[in-house]
Amino acid sequence: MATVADATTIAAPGRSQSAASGRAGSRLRRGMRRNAAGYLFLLPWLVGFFGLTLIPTIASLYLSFTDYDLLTAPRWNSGENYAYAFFQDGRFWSALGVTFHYVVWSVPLKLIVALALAMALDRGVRGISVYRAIFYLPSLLGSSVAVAVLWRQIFGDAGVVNQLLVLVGLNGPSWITHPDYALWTLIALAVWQFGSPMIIFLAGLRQIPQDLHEAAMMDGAGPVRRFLKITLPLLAPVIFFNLVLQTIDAFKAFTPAFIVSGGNGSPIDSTLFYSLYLYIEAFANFRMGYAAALAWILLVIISAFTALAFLTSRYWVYYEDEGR
Amino acid sequence: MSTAAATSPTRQIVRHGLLIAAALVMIYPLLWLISSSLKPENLIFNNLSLIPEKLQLDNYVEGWTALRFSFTRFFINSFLIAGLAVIGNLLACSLTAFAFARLNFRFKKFWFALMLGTLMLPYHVTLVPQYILFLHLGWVNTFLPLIVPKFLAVDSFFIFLMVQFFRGIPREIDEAAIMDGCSPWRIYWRIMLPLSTPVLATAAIFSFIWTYDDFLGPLIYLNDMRDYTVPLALRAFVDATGESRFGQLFAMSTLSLIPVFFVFLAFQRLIIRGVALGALKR
Amino acid sequence: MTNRISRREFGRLSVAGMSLAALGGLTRPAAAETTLRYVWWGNPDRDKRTNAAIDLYNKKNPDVSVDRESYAWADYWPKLATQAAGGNLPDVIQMDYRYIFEWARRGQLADLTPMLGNQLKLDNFDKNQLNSGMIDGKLYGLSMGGNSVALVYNKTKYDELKIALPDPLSWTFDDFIKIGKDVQPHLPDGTHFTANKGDNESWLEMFVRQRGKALYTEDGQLGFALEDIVAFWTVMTDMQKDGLTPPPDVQAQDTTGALEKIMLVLGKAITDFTNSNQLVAIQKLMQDQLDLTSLPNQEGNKPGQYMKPSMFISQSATSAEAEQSAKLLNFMVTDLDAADVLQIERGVSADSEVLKHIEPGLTDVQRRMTGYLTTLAKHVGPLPPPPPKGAGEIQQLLYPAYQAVAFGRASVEDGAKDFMQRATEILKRA
Repeated sequence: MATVADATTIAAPGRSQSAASGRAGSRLRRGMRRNAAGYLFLLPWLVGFFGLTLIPTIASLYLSFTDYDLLTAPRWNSGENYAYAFFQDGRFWSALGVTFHYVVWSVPLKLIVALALAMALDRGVRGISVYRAIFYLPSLLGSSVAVAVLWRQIFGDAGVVNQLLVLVGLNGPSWITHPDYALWTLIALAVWQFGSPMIIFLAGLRQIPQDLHEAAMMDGAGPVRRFLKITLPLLAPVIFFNLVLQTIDAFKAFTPAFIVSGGNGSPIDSTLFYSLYLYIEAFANFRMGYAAALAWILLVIISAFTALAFLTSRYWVYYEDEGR
Repeated sequence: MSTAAATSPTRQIVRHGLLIAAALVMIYPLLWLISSSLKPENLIFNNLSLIPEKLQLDNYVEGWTALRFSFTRFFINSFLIAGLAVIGNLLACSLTAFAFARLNFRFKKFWFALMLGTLMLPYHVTLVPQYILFLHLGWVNTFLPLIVPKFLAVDSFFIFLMVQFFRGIPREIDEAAIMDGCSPWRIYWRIMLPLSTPVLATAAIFSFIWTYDDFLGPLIYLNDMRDYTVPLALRAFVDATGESRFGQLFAMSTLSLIPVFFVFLAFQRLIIRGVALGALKR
Repeated sequence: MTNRISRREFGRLSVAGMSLAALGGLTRPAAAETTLRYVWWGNPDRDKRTNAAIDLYNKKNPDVSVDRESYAWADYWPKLATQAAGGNLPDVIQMDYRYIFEWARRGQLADLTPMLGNQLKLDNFDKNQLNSGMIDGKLYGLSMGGNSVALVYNKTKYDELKIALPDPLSWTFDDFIKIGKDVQPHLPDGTHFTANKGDNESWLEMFVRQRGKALYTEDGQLGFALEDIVAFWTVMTDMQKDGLTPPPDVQAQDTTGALEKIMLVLGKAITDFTNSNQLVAIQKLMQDQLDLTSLPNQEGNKPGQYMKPSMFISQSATSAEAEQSAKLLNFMVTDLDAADVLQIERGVSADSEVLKHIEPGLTDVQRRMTGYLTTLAKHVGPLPPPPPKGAGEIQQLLYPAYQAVAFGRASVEDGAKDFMQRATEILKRA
């Protein structure tokens, strides 16, 4: 540690040569130089953190207690936004409901498919890299506007899905403009992107020692039992990671809902993702204060979920270095 | 690892069959997109075959100039923003990561904890105040709000990734350099960065893809069609045209996916390793 | 050693700084002459005409260049509001009757009254149309044309089915429904008699006016009661139940105002709802011949429709080129050459000279439009009071509110109650 300070030349030339000061003085100077180096490197992040993260976060908390339409100064309304959201705003509850629905269905489905395919691929299948590429590609492309546009046409009134259904004699509705089905097209889109968690599962599966399986097989354990007693527990940290990551991502989803619904959560707000509602309130209706309140409510919800996940993980996630 | 000894040939065939079926279902939407972009308009929605009877590039040619500005402009905008974002991220995040991983300074643990905390902060909370800030700076309707934050290490995910990587580089190398009288900057620039090409490449790739695909940012900050990025232009395409121009829309959509697809092809291994890197303990 | 490092660093930083500065300027063209910005909402046909007209203006005024932007209706108002907040509204703005009062009272639009007689030569302007752009005695927008709402129908199919429409000035909803019931069995699968426009604010307005009410009162409250909207939605849902309209999921494709997505154009219905000036644009999208008729009336035959300025052309209060902008405004509404290009796509011009000039050149389709308005003029009510702030949001609210009823999620009464409550909230919060 002391060596860094000795070698630093960030300080003005000449200072480092001075030997006249006492030990305490030079140690102080060394300390200052040490800190200076660190802080100089940290400078961009510090500016970004204060200017773009910390201060805006505090500002948004303040704004959430005001009415602000960008044209006149913010007007303090002491919590009216929150009261309105919880007690009077039907759309708020719709947005929450739609988002929860989306999360609760898309995340488990996505993870189950990802795990199933990871396990199928883990058996040393021929051409695994091709399969892996094909399965992963959608998750790379899936959050783009192009795919959302494509999805809108595939599930539209005259789209491919309906054409295929006609082949088997069924007449499909206009999926994306039907409130019972529109959200499911978005869930399907999410599940289509299982490739990313699948890769993570693959890596996790690779870390499970083969001899465990072999020993269990010698004891007569069938594949289901091996899955439940060996694979799942050893994969638990990875499952946990995927679960938290995918859930938080699902809460933040915006682009697919925006494009498929045409920007307004239609029909009947059945695709009104929370992020979309926030966007509409902020940038279409210019109720910036209310949008800030919505953002903080979301933050609380995500934090609560994350905390819950971490707390309950104690009971089902065991890390290798913790022993059992 | 293979447990091939225990798997019967029928099992193998079934598994392969299912895998192939799954792969086909996965890839079908994209194949349909490309195939429709090559079909004349009237054959798109009433013909299921993936092989177009009449292959034509008209949709690409006409779609390119269908909006008020040509897609040349939109692609330039997208690449410019994404390129600068990559540079900004690599520079700023590596500087920060170096400070956290290699330097010592007062309150380092505190700042590090804060940095990790920002990983969990959803963008919604800072969205509105950042917009107001940029509005007052006069930066709305320019590229600046999309680029400058990258130079201020706002993407903590990359900082995290790089810190992990830097920690894996043996300290002896640093110490040897220090003995030779190297300043931290020199260690960073001459030693750390060259050794970190894998993580820098990963960060560059994801930074590019995420910025290129970014929709909400450009949506709120870019008002003039002249400044539109490709995703924004696609959406304007959907709004401006109706039934009559789906072929062109699909052609432009296909083109918009190509950069990401290329990056994927070229850096597949790196990408996949990067995804797993972030997830597993080392 | 220190110097070398800091110099290199400095060099890097300055390059970065310069490129950032260049970026800021990258997208702004160097303006040698006067540059105006003109923004409107529209459709491809209107865009073509407007661009052609502006090009004409450029030719006549080579020292002025005009930057143009056009958006879909749904995007237009948020984008404009953003620009207003940033203090960089375009010089020339297309305005709507629903919004012009809000914007004028907020001080965002320029008072054009001083320009009258100077840059604005409006002696031939219809007085009513001119007044419709006046707020608190000052002129804030020039009407770009008059129009009214209408039912647009597929005349070719109507003739095939031998439908004879009754007198447009007195026909009733009963007539309308009866025709539908007679005709529906003869329509192919998937095609219906009429679009279901229960989510349409304009039709709702005409409906309540036929009952002696109004959409909004002078002091900015809702001007109708629960029973009025219940009656409206009952008519619409009954027609849906009888199979006269497309199912709600099909109808829900028409929520953005894009003409390509209305049921008539999609072939799902042979009757639809529109603004009279959109006939030309819609006809362009279809092979079959289209025509207009008025909305059906209710008991008592009180006129619900009114002649309205289809849209205004206004100037922003912060425009740096007030006089030049005013000249462009004047050009768009009074210049005869511009009129040749614009014709009546935005409505029937308020300037009598313009009307006289373009009349001989009108196409068949356009004559159908003017003919409709001439007939309708005998059965219209007065222009309603200016809509309050929040009217635009309420117009958007009607879509999910009605769809909830159409999809069977709520009864007509409950859905209507919910709508009234939410609309009142919006007006309160505005």
